Amino acid sequence: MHFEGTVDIEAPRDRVWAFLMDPEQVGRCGPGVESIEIVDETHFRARAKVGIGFISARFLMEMELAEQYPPDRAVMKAHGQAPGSAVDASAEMRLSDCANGVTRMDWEADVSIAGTIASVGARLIQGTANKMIAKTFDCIRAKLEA
Amino acid sequence: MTAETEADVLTAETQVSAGPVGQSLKRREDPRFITGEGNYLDDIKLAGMSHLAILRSPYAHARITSIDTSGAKAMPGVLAVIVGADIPYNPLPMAWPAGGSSGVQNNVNTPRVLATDDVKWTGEGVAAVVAETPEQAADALEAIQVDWEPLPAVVDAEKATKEGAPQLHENAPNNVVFVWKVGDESGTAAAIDSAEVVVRQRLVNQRLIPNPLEVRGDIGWYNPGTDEYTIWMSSQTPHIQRLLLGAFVTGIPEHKIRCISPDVGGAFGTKIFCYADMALVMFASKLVGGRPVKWVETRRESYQSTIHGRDHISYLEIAGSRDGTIAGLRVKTYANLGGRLSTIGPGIPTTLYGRVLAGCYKFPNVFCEVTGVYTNTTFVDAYRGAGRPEATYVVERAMDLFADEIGMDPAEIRRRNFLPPDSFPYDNPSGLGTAVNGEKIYIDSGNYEPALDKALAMAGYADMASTKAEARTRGKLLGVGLSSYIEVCGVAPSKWIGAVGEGWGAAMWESANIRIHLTGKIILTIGTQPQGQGHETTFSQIVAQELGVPVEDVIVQHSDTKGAPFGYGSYGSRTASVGGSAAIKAAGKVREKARRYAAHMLEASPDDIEVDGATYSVRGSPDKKKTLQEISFAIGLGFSLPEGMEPYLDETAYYDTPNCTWPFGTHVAIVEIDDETGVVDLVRYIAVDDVGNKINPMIVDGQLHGGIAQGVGQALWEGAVYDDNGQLLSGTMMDYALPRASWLPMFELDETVTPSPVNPLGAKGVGEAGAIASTAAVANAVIDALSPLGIRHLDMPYTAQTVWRAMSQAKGGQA
Repeated sequence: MHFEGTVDIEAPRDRVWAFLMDPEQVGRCGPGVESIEIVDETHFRARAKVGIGFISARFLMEMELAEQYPPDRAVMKAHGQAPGSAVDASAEMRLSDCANGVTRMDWEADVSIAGTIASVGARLIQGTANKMIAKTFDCIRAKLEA
Repeated sequence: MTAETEADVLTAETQVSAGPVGQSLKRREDPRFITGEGNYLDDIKLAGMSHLAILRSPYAHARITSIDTSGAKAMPGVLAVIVGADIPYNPLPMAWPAGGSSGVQNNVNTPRVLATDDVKWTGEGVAAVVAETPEQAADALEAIQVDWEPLPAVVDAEKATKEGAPQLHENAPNNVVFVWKVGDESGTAAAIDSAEVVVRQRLVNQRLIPNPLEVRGDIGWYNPGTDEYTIWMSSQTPHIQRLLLGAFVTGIPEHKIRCISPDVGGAFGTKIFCYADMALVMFASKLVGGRPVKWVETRRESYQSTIHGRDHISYLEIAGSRDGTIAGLRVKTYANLGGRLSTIGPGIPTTLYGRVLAGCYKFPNVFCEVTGVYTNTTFVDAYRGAGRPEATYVVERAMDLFADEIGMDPAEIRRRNFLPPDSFPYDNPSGLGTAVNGEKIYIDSGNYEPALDKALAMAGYADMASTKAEARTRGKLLGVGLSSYIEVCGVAPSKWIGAVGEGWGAAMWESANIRIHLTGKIILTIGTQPQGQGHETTFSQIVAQELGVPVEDVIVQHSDTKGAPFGYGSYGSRTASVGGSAAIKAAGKVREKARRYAAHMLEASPDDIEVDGATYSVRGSPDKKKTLQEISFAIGLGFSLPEGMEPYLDETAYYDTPNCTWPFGTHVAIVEIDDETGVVDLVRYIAVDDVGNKINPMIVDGQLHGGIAQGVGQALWEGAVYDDNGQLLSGTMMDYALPRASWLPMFELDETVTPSPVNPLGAKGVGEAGAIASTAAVANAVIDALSPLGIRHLDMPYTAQTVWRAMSQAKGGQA
């Protein structure tokens, strides 16, 4: 599945960058995230509970900041497993300056879901994912613009 | 009556006489089934029984890097955790290569009991837990850590053969299992090249997920005291499973294995095969010290790890002249067989498909090439009809496409090309009668036009133009579709299979044993295996008819390799024609022995004993008589026996049919399509079937109803959907649209009767006929309804979305 979008954040680019590169901060904006464990500078681990329709699963996500070009572009890769399900994702975001101190983030992500969630929740995944993405960005904006 | 020889028994009259055979007796199984007193696999609870659950791959294609079972082993109630490397058994057998022993290269890969190195579809088993309760076993699965290396996947059979596609198996370049050809390649090419009219079409016969009410399951029990195994299994073929599990998978001697198939709640082919779980429960029971181990699949597991059906992509070319005479049919098919091969997977799209592609028509030239293909999907094998629905779909769509091209009525083109009734036995050109060492099979009988005429009359076909016009006034596009089908069933004879190496690569006879106890009550034990068809009723009717006793005096036993004679099981609509004939033969042996014993009792010559029902009397002295009950009592006691005669009436017969049987008929579907929404409504369904003589017409009707509903399901609603990564998106009943009673009209059934000449019942088999005919009938009706818009073909299922989109495009609008 491919997702992409653009988010405008009323905060300077270096602050946005710093926030997004800090797993402790940005991680807390992920819906259902229960814990975050920093492994090293570019690797961290998150435990998150995800519900799709009537199924819910606790995923253990291994995340890697694969590429960083501060304060312009970053690539993140993630692999997650839950009982009977797995998710693999790769996401890229690009920051640019807009007028009035607004930072624009263009992002895209490719996500593949395997196992129970894929076969049972197929009809619901797109909608759920869109909702989760929107929640994440609402949270990021709220924290940065506060 | 003179002494009966085997030949007399086997050439008995094919007309049904007065007696229980031919009566619509209510099924004696039903009281227990409909009151919850059946004994299905999951009803069985054994002392000390433990429970097994299987961890299944979430990926369609991946390497297993490592498996850590330590967490699961520490979970409450866990008795054992098993991975593939623990199991010393062989991979599962593949018993029916494409082409049999003809030399066709088959690149065989079959599942292991649990995958060891890699997985080829989502749902392949990789580890198992044995625990005290099913819940504890399921919980412990979640604690097994598997490290996966996902690999690229391919799910489409045609794409899988192309350059650059992900490769599944080293021994199968371009994922090809086999390339199998049948018919006259050059003759068909010449006929097509020189034909006045050639019509070409790509057809997708989509993948289906079978849905018996009862899912599969097994219980394995290793008895440490005797070193023997018992496996209860929801199976159509317990005798074959004992053979396969013993000689091919585990190496455990066959006589140390007992297989029991209790009441089976539907199967439709899915329970013919040798599955990994059967061997797994054997291994697990020994591992846990001889406690019985039960495994019952969930419906979601069933959707991913019990076989699927169909899944063909075909390119057809049909050629002929403008007068409607067909000169040739050429078909190239990609048959998706899944990630590894199921037990008889390659046999289905070859012998049971390519060899019957000519249908009931007199096509001078037929050629078919089938490429069997590995993809990252659940394995595909026989599902109700097995190859013949796919063949019927191709040829019946082809006839309509050709008729449309030349502007001829679909009924007329069929009539014009039917094999005439004097053609039989007929050696068809798509190689059915392929002779190896002189052995061949042929189409035994047929008389196709009366069934067509009857169906057309019932449908009001002559008035269809005005029926369509009336529907138009209601905003409906009405379409009528025909399907004139034949099917091959009662697959046999053994000598043909021996010569060409097809079927199981083993014989296809059937068995029956009749014992008449001291009180005159009769036990028939059969090698075939009911799954809800009512064998206990119909076989009682046969034996009661043959021995002149009340139906109530006969009970039918089956399903246990301990006690039942070896039999090949029930599938391919073979039970009545092959198994029923074995019962007739056994009854003949019993009658002959009873006659000889009656002669002893009555102090007459055996040649002078006349048999009338259950009464054995001396010719010319009708008062000198004994009943079968009196005879069975006396011979059972054995106080007085003639020289050389053994006590007791206990006879076993093995029956090998000389040929397959060939049911046929014409089905007519009438659909209305909503002009605005594209919703397809099946408004009438007419079926005229010729299944030969009927043992129990009510049961025959029931089989037709169920089969028709399944075939309609494929045309209108059903379809297994994978995403490009091999995830089964239609993984539950919420996503897989099974037909519902309220979506179907009352079917209008009628018959013609052309008894099969190849068995004493004159019966042909009916288990699959409905499913074979109905998909094509509905498809042709939908296309007929859409033809005023210029639509010539659409792939199934005809959901409202598909039809609306096609209509919108045809009308030049948005889609």
